[in-house]
Amino acid sequence: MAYMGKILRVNLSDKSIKKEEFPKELAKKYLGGRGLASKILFDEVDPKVDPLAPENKLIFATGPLTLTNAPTGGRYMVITKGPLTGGIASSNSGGFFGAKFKATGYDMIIFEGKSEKPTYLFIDDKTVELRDASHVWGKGTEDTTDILTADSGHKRANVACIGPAGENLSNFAAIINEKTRAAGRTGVGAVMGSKNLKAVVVASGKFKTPLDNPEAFKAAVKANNVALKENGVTGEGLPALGTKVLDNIINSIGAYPTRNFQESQFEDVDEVSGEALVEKGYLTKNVACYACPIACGRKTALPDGAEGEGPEYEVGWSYGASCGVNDLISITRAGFMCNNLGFDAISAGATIATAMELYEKGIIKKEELGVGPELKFGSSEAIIYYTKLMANREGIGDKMADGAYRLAESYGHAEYAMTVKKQEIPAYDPRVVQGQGLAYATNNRGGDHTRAYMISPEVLGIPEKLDSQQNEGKAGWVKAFQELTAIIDAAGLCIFTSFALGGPDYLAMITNATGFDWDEAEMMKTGERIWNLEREFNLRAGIDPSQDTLPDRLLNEKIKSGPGKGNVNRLDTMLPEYYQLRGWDEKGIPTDEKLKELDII
Amino acid sequence: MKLSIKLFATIRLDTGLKLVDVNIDKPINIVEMLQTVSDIIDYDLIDKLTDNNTIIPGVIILLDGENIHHLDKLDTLITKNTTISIFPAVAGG
Repeated sequence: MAYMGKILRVNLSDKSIKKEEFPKELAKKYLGGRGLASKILFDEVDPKVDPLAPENKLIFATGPLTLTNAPTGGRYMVITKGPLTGGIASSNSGGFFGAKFKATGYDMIIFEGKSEKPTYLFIDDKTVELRDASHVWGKGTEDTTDILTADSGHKRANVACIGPAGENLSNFAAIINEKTRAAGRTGVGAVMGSKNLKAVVVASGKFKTPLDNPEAFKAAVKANNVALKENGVTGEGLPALGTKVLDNIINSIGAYPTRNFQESQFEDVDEVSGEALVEKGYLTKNVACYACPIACGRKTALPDGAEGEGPEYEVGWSYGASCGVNDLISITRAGFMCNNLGFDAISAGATIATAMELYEKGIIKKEELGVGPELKFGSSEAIIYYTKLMANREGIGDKMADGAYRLAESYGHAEYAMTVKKQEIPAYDPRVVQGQGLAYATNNRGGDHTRAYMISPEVLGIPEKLDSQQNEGKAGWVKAFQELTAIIDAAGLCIFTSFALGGPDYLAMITNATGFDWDEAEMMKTGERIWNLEREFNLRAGIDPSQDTLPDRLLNEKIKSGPGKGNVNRLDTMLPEYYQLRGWDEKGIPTDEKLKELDII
Repeated sequence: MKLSIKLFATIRLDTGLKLVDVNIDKPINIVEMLQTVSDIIDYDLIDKLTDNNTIIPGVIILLDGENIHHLDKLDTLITKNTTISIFPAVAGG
């Protein structure tokens, strides 16, 4: 139950489309979404494959709670081997596409091979077919969505597509659905581009998700919706201010990375904060994803009439403090551009910040910029100009489109790239938030905060307040957060629910939807299985445990001023305990015993 | 002693105030500070931030960047010129 029972396998090389049985037995071990799709990737793709070669596969996956009224039950994930880290890539997106895709009667699409010409997949209740995409190749995600929606004959079609960044194989290209929702991180859009696959269009699905115990499921959903409404974060803060409420919090504790992590507080935070977005009148309304009672999305409009969504906290930071820019209009505009060009806006802004440091240190020369503005911290002109240049791979934008690590490495200065496993670290300085540093270092998809959001206990005090500066006990917290997050992703929900919900709340929804005879321990074991499987894929791909680390700046350069003055991240005091708790050997390799216990080998 | 109290998120949006300066002549604890500010801005911070004399989960009160959770919580004494940052339970990113 809770699954449609069918998978689409689309071979782009020979244009064949097969409808296969959904692997129900595997679902009991990997749940769905991120978990089940990672298992299929693990079984079907050589981890050493070139991510942009036809032999790589690209999987769109829903979870059992996608297309249900479980709070936030509308998400999908894209899983593949990614070009940015060279390891497993998986990106989660909201909006409506995931639910509308599942409503066409399928749980998952596996794309294989490479199309000779630009193509897109169209799915409705009668048809599944590959169609020519020549007329939208080269276009942004906004035009692509409008044109393919019109072509479909369905006003309410939902489109997930790539923009020029994906077509031009930027290592941090995203897949964008409904123009503003991104399967953002780890370069899944580049894999889509490498297959000449411009879009997936879904329309007129009429299926509903079958539930094992509809009454008990309804009761669990009702209770969880009440909890979300009554919670200060999900019921009040996120609706009022969106994620950007964090700017002032993180800046006040001195963990707001500024000018490529050279400083940890931004002097102009008041100009760019979530409060400023409201006070300056750019926020026009909240928007919610499918079945979401939180509605953290921001519809915004700028004085010149430009409209879009965001910026979220991360985008506001990557193009703001990270680049030293205090102009909220340009930051908002850069976020709009990332959506339209099809970029992961965290990596895009952070890569520009790295380029700015390389330029200010004289490593990137002025001649390399051609007619472009100087790459100086604080330049709002530069963030707009180089975003476009990266999408088109023009001039120095060609190197920048490969990401901060490869950009810095090409000049022999990889130390200026604030990355983990070659992915750009987001907006929390791990010298102040110690456990978040461990979460970055051990993340299966590299520098990223959404696999274990340690900010919640270490800064926000949810579910309880931990001292962000302490290291003791953080390994256990990180492990537990990684496993619960894997379950939330695999179920098809949004991690924001976890501000108000805990293990038993998720368990009630999952078991009543699927009929699985799980207790909480079995659910968490499933999360552990997903985590270890991803780890094993990465090891086989050649990402060895020496990459479980942070940039030298964060381990050895003390914060110069503010509440975190004198701090570094003390990863060495947390990592051995983390390996031990995971049941891995002291070098960070999962033991055969652990892999057998989890039924991975 | 001069206290610079910065208000954020929904407190700022509700009151339209970013900053309140308060002068005190003897040390006060957090609850006394909140009561003093509440009276000045006509906005019940005690109700917004505390429940039964404990800090509501998610609420952040910083003294010069340091969270009172790791000091003496609501009993923390303010004894010198201090910048105080107050956030209701609102965050997430």
